Amino acid sequence: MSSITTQDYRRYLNPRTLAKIAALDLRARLIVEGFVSGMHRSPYQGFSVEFTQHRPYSSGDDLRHIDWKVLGRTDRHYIKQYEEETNLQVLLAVDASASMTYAGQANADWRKYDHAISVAASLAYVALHQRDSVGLAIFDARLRRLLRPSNYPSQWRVLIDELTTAPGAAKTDTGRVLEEIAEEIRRRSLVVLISDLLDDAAHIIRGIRHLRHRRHDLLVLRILDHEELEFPFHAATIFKGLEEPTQMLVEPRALRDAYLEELRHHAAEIRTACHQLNVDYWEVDTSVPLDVSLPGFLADRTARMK
Amino acid sequence: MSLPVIMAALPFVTPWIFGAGAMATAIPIVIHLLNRRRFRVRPWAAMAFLLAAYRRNIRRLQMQRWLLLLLRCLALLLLAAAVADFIPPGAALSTLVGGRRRLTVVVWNDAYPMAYRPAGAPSVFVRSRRLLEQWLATAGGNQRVAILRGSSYTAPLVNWPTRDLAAAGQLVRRQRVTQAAVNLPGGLRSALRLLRRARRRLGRLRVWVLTDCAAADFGLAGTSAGGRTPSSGLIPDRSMAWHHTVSPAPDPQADAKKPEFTGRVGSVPRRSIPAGATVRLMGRLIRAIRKLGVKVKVIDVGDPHAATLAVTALQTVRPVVLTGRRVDLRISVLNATAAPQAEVVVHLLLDHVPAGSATIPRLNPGETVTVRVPLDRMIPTPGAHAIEARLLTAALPVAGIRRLAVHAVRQVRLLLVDGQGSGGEGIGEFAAPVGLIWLRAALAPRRHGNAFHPSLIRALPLADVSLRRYRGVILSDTEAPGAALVGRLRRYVRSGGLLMIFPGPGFDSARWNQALGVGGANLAPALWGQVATAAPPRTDGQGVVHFDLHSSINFLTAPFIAAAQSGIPTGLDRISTWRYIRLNVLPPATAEVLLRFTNGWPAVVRRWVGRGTVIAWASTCDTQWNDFPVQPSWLPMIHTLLYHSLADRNGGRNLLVGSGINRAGTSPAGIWSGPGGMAVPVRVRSEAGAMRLVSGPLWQAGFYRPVGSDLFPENPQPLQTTRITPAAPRSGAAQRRGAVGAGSEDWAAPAERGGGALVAVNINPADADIRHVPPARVAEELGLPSQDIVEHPRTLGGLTATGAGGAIGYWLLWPALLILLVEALVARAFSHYRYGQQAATPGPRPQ
Repeated sequence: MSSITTQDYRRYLNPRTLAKIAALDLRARLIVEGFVSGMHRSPYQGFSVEFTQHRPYSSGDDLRHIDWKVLGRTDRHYIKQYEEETNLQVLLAVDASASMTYAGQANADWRKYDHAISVAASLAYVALHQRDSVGLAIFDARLRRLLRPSNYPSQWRVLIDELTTAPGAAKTDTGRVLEEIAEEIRRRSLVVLISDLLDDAAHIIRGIRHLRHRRHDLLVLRILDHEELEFPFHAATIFKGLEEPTQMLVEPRALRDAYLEELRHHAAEIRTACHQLNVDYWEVDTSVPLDVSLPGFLADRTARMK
Repeated sequence: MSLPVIMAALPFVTPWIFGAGAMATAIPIVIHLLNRRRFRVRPWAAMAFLLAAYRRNIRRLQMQRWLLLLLRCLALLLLAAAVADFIPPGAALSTLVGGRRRLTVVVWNDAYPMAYRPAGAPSVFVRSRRLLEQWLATAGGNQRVAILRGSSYTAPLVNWPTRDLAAAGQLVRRQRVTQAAVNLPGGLRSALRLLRRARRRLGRLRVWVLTDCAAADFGLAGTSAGGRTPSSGLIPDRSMAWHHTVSPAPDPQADAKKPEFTGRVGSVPRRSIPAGATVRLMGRLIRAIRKLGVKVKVIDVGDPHAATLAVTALQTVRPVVLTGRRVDLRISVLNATAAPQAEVVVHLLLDHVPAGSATIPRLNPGETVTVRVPLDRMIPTPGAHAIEARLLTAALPVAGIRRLAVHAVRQVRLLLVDGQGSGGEGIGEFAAPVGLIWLRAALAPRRHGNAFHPSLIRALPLADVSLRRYRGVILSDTEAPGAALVGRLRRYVRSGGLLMIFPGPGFDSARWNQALGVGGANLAPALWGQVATAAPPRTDGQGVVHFDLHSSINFLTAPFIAAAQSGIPTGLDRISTWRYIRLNVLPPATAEVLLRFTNGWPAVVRRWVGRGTVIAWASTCDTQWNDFPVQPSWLPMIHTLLYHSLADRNGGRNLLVGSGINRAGTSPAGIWSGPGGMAVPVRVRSEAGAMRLVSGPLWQAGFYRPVGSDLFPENPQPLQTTRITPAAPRSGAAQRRGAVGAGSEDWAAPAERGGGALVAVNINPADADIRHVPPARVAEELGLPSQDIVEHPRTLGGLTATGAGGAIGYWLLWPALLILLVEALVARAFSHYRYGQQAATPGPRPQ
């Protein structure tokens, strides 16, 4: 594991980005479980601040919760119920496979993995800022590292230290990893999948479905380089696979449309499945600065929850 | 097979260019291979998508790659074929590819100057024919061609656009150079007429004038090196085709060389037109053609060093040729070279027998020198005889010979009619007219051997006498003719007769004016007035008046008159006239005063009417009103006047190429024999009540005579091989006849032969100046851009930017460019790449 310096933190945490997303909450769209009261809806209902409903009084209920006003008007006994708020457990699942090491010509030193770290760091910062617990899962073909969620202030630094570990050279098996994560975490949590999803779509969908089956809220952030999205090459090029041991001489202009069609088809398949499973899906272009893309995503998500 | 042979077999105008272009088609292949070697290596994350896309599109990609390669190669190949001017093997492909129909009108000069042959090379005409043949063989299917003659030869070539280029090529191959005159304006006029009619149906039009660019073609003076600058004159011949003559500039000393007579026998009536008219006419026609949007090119196939000597004129000095008398000839020689010529020898032949020679000491470039030469031999018999002048050093053989057909007579028959003469032998009308004694004495001074044979009659039988038997009719103091006689006289004069009228005491001026004046037969050269008696103010005190030689027209150039004008005593200035009739001369255009009296009144007035002449004297031909008949100058004066005024009856015997026989008479009709045994049908035709012998145009220079006539044989030897070397006569008989033997030829033809009909046909001498005109001057004179004068092209195919007439290279440019465009579109469609859609925003760079 490489040592992380102060410079390294600044590399992945842009103050301008933080300034823009600080005002936005990283809210769970679904009801999640928590140990302490927080800003997220809990599946447990009690007698707290947020009124939810009335129910008929039954013997053994605390008389303090009888709604006397209703009794005065209707001569019936009703108990007032309140929704309990809890804190959020966020698990950042970051893809560290070989394909994430790709960097475009324009920014050869800015890999997709770097962009993924930046996203994860920003989200972790926001979550910790709102006193939610943040965990981390680093995976490639299998789950390499799993940090249990914690809301300690030092958790952010721990996360960054783990993320800056160089990614492996293995292939991705996102579906299997998601299933593994689903088995590992007990409480209903917000799982943020940060990956390029360059894997079999069916496997990925199966993993997402497994997570959803365990009632986890899921957020998929697909990190792709601009060149992967546009394929803007002219001259004949030998493409060497980062995860596959194959190479191929291609006339890029002749194959561009077909490649983009394949890419769109793959993305559409995952996007459709996410939509059906009530999972947020967002594509992140590494050429778009985070202070543009991330606030937009969070604002959109917040708006949809209201 | 060697490479040149293979290249020559390729159907291209410039096969080497196509070879280079064909090699250039390898460029796309090489680029393709180089591109496959110059790849970049790039790690790629989304390899699965790339592999999937590649597997799904591998066939399409391969097809696109090969298609693009094929299009690029094909485009280059077509461009190469276009530049190399592809010649399709068949007309169908040309029709398919050629697009708009094209018409090329070729005005082809096939006149005799094109026969000029430089040393060791084919003639100019043969070179032009090869060019045309080659072009017609390679012309495409959409090419239409019309070939018009640039000469006066009337046989059509391809007068209307045709697509049958093979047939046109065969026709061209059969063509031989003609002996017709140059007539480029005629060819251009025909081309203009044709283009106006064909313009609506045919798209691209152009005119090529294929000629030798000789000075005579344009009526320009050729390149003159030193010497006097020749002046130009343009004259039309009888067929009204325009021709050009070159004559030297006026020479102050040339008057001394002037002949006594202007040429009559053998001359062709011509009408002078302004110098430079031919080239101006050509310029106007070319401008009219270019206004139609037609490109005109003058293709110069001539030899820059073309030069020749030419005999341009051969005439007898006197209008009548008499047997047993010396025949004087006038010969003109043109030096159409760039250098002075010395000791130019002209050989003369009479009836194909050598009859002397003339040597011209010096001929400057462009100069025409006329010399008077007597024949060594006299013409022994009356009838037709052939005279030839030959220049053995002429580079253009056909221009080095000139022929003259003459009809020799023993005597010139004249009819003398005395009206009021008294006395003499006989009774009444048969009494001998004494008034004409002086005239008869002058015409026939000797008992035998006189040149003239006067027949004297009284006025009364004139109405019954056949005038056609006489060359001239002289009336002395006769009554004014009646209506019937006036009609006969009018026809007689118009057909070439001479009518001379002397007044006398019984002369009635009013009646004569009524009979022959403008209101009558319109023959009178002047209106006869009152009889005047010589009186002051210009008398010499003796009541007489003399001839004023100095104010008389200078028409008579015989030594006798010339001597009188030079102050040498000839007696003319001592002639006294004390009575005369005042002649009121008609306008100068119709009549001329030959002699005047010192008091200003005309003494002798002449008028040309038709082919004949009418001469009016103011005084009598006896001694009643003057003493001229008793003076020594009477005889030479009468002879000079007659020789000068008798009509030339040999004009119909001497023609230019392109003219036809047209002479009075009915025999001998039938088949005539021309040069080389050519058969020419001659028939009888009635014209205005008179029977005439007529034939079609004669296109070969030479002598023509009735088949089976007893005339001398035509010289069978080619002109250029004839060698005349004086030799001793073969026999004593021949020596006695005056015949001269000659070399290897059989010159012993009987000189006594003669009679019968004979016609001489000569080339038009106006075109003998074959000196080459520089292209820059041709362009300037014709108003053409200099690039439209094409000098000595090796092929007609490369004349225009649009390629050869038959090649379709120009049309291949369009499919080649179209294929290039298609290739670009296909490549773009195949790539579907949008260059402008690249994201310009770089990745994030946190601060």
